[in-house]
Amino acid sequence: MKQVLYIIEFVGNNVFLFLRSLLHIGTLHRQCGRVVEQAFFIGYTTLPIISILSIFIGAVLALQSGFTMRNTPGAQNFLGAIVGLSMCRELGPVMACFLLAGRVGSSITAELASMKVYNEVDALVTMNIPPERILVLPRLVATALVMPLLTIFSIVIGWYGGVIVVEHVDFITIDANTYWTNLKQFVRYDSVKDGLIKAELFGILVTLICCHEGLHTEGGPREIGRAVTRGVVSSMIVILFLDYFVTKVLL
Amino acid sequence: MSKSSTERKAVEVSIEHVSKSFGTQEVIHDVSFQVCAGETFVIMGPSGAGKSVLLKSIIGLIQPTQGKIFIDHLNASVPETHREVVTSMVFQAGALFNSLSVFDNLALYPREHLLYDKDTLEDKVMTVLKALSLEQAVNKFPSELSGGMRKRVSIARSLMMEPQLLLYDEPTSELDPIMAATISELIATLNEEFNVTSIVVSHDRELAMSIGQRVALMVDGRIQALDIPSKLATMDDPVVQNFLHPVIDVQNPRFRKQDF
Repeated sequence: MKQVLYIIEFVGNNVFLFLRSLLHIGTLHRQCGRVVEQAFFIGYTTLPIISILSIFIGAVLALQSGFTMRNTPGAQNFLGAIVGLSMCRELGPVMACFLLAGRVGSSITAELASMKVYNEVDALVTMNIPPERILVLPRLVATALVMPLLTIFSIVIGWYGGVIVVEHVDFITIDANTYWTNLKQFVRYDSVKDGLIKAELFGILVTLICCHEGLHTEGGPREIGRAVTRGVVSSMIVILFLDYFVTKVLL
Repeated sequence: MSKSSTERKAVEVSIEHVSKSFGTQEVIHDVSFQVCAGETFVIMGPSGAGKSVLLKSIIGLIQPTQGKIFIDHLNASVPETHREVVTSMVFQAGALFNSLSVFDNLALYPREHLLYDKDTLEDKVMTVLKALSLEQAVNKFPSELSGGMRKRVSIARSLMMEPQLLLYDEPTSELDPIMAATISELIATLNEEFNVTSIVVSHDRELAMSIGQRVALMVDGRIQALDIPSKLATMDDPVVQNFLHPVIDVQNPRFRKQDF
């Protein structure tokens, strides 16, 4: 029962935080600097690690599938479709959001929790500046702007990871042209669009949850660490949980 | 709508039977007093007496469990009150925004409330910084400042709001005696120059007795005594005297080795 109440409270608090942030959408034109700063931070810190992860995921996917199909004549011709669809429908967006949670979400929670513990958030309140307006809204908007770019980047890098394996591994008998032709044949605009919808939704949720955990930190410095752990773990669980249902809706 | 700076005047504060509990622990018990407009009112007392909780209740960061606080006859628990009456607080640790320079810390409130154009804002910030001898620190970040400078920047940030009610939470804590005296003088001067009501929370006896027009001694969540400094100093109450003139008896210490 306690856990159910905790989940209801968690969902409710995040929904209210989101709505309270949206109330200040009219001030967004005055916050361009903060949005750009956050977008740069999110993109700059996530891009290198997304590149590494995506290229290896694409490569491993091609390697595993190619190995499994090596004794089935013609099956390897579909490696392009397998890597292409997996990357753009599932692995690209979900991995990008996982990295967002681990790399950026943890940083957001730590920063806001530190501001809360050291009274900076209280100072904002006493200045009649809602923390949602300058601390949450710019981060949500920056995430919404950056996530599609990061996801497309992740997908494309993953595809290239696949083609590297196709070209250089002996037991895979197809060439790069066959890989790309098959990939283009099966990957449609809708597949990419579905991936981008997931990335956008999960990315905003990660940022929202991490902001919420930061702003609700009470106590001393030890609580900052706990808030970071809570933020990252909650984000990942929410991504995994919603991924199933969103996928089902988008299919 | 909040009033323009020229129309603003100091406000009175009325605290009526305020109690505050956290769980089962009552930290403030039935506290009542009034602060007149333009007065410098000091609440002193030992650590853990509930002074800071009372201060946060006045500015609306904490809701009292019982009782009411009125600022200029408006309920302080209602957020609209703090939009109508400009209240500001100097936090114990400064609460400066570490990611912003001193200039941006001071400019944040006017920028967010669209008070001035760019040139006027720069002039205002520099005027306040000069008044507090901080013009050299304008481009520095809070982490580059000494404790005394951080306190002064925090006061400067509050002054940028042109407050009607200014609350200070332990303004001289963690400062050397000379800097503590500087901050005390600053608080007294600002009160006269800016026509603001000031409530200062401190356990610094010298600060309380020198700048307070009236001083309240708070002990264990209750107001033990409240009067002008000269009368408070001569009160017979042993709790008051013990706080004002603590005896350091090294021959008969309060804690002995066998107590540990």
